[in-house]
Amino acid sequence: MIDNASTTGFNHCPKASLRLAIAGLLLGASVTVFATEVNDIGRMDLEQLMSVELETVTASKYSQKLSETASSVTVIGKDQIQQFGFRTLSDVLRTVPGFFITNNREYDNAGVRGFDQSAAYNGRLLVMIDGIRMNEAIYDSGFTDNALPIDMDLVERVEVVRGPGSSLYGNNAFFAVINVITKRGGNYQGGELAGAWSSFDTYKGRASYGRKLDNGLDFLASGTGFNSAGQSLQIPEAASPGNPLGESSGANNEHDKQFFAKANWGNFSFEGGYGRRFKGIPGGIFGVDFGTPASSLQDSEAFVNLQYQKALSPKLDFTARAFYGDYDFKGQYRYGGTLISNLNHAWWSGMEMRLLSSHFDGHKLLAGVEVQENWQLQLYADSSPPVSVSQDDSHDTHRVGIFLQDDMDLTKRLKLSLGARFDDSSLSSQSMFSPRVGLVYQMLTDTVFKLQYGKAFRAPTIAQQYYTVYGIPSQMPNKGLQPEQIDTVSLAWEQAFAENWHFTATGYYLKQSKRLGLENLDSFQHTVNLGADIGYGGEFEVQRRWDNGALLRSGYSLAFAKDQDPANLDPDVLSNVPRHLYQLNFMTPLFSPKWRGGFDMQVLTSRTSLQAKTPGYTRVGLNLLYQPITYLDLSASVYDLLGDNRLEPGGTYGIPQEGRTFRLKFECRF
Amino acid sequence: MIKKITVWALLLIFTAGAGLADEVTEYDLKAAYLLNFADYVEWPNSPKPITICVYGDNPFKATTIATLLEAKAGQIDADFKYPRQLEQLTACNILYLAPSEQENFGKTIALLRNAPVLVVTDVQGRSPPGAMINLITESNRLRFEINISTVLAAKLKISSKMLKLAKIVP
Repeated sequence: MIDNASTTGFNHCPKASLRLAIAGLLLGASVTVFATEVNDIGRMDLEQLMSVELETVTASKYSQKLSETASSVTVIGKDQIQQFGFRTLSDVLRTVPGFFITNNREYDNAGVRGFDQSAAYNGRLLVMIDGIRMNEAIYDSGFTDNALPIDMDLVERVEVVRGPGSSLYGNNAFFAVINVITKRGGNYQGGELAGAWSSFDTYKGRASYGRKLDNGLDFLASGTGFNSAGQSLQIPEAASPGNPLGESSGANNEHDKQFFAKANWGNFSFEGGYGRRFKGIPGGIFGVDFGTPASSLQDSEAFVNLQYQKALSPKLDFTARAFYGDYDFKGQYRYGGTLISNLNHAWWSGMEMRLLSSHFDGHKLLAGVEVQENWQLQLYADSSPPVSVSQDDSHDTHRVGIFLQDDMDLTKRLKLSLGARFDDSSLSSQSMFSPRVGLVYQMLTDTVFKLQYGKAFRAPTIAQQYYTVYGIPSQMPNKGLQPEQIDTVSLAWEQAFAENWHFTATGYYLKQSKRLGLENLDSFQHTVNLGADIGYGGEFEVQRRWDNGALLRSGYSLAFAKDQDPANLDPDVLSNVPRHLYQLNFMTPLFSPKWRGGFDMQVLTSRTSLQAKTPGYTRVGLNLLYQPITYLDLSASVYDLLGDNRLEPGGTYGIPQEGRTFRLKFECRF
Repeated sequence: MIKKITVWALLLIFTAGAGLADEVTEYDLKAAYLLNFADYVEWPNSPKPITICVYGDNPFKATTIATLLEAKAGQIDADFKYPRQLEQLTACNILYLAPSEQENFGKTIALLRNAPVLVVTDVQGRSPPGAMINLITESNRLRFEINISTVLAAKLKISSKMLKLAKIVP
């Protein structure tokens, strides 16, 4: 995405814009949308004021204009979240070029750039809320469903940065970095209640209260409850004489809670959240038993972040934050009358400090250090009856990362970004070095080229190294695992044309090595470092905004991947990944400004794996929003309008999808 | 590990002692817009100074207003006032209706009917009926919509330069 106006802003007001561009170390949860001084804007006239940028991309740990980041970034704002009826982060990601979502009735999994994530719990994505790492410490899951402890109604915007991010963020910033930026108390100035009813007896309620006080204190608190009876499924392959149709009912329920609070005052900001997601696993999925009691899983995650940010001098910004996190997992799987229980718990704390300096002309230097201590990583597994404990151990680990980045202006049109991060983890004997080089060339006012090389990694999780369970199948530990690594080169072309149109084309080539995956042996399975993969492809996005708030956004991506592991029988097969992916989003006011409509569509071509071929599908969503008075929003949505009863790959048998569902929602403010 | 954290915690406490950074917020920017509008609008009685009223919960910082007024001292002769009573609003030249007053728009605007007061709101998405200027966020920037018919009804003249920068709403 190119912001045309930002370049014209440069022309009209060189000094002020330059200062705006240089200044600004953004708090993850900051209320300050850009950093400059009141004095500066005091001297501007109306036209110059209009070039001041309000929102910037935080994905590089400090605010930057979109056109200045070397990565491919897609930003989805709250207007889109509301007008397309996005319910989860998965719904948002579905519309981002290069991304597709699969649901295996346990979790949502995001596939990126030609690689399916369903076996990795999204561990190759770094998911953050206001810059705070959400990937937990047991499986490194980056949840994109309701297990992410934030209600999408509270989201200001989602920034998706495709490409490696380990040079700043370390572990898990492998294919992409996703930063979910939340709203401020000032966005509310009072309370808000929301309620929604959806198909399959699904109810959701939320109460929020936020305010910005005269003394500068800005706060927001919110609670959400979600209950769903869930769809009944039929899995004919799992039929038995007692259950000739393979019917599973009542076991697909979901019960979620999300709490979130934030407060900003002066240089300090506090933020905390808690989310719990209980999900029943329908009989037949992954071979679990039909009937009651059903199999289930429950993820709970909590986080607290305290941040302090201060300009030590006009050219030196300092940020420090302390964080705490807690994750709890409870899995109950029933296979042939045997109950396998999994109880894992982790809690961690840490600190990060960073300095951003603009002392040297034409340089923005960022240096920082991040430490995380995982005080307890507890893994417990047993099977019953009779009770037989296969694992009961606790570990403590820590990781340290040091990062440095220099963004320099080589000429007025050419910017070079050099960065690297060094990571050391007590869990792995290997230290990781993740460099990144980016070149941004603004060839013409409306034309920008971006070239980037970066290295990223994903460390083996404690679960991959130690998880032990005797069951079907048995899983054994493997303590000698090494981090998997990826090298990515990308070239992007961003073009603005005809005033309001923006076009972006990105081509990439990537090489993964030591991919972490499951190896099936005769009597058990365990995680191993597999061979290398290469991938290449392109992502194209075009966007147009109209003055009345209408928006058109369309993406096409093409992905090729080759598995270079000699053991793979069919190296050219992208396992469960569509080669072509087409996305279309259009929202517009209807009849009058009180009515707004949203249309979104994703077209995936067929996916193949060694076991099966999944036909392509088209997913269409429609959303109608009606705002009769300022204080009331009503909406009606249809998801997967075409509802083509497709089966998703990934389980023991094909996994039936929800198909066409409806939602009615209200939001009222007071 | 604990030692490291202690060191950092101390560092954090020491640096916390100093003053607040003077960074611009969205409302600082809105205040700058209000002040600048005074430069582009003509009132029938050419008031001096131009009275800019903030009605409702004041979202602006006093230091911001002071800094802005000082920066434009030679160029714009204006004053910020914070009236509490509806009856006082007709004395305003520019009237900003704070978000806390949004539910009373209709009442306030009815009272002002056709008085030469430039009514400014900041309702994202749609300009409330009766508002003359509505501040909105678009493409990461603060922009404004002008409702020409209400401006004309109030016998205000908006400079062509400002009209060019605005989005005109019917």
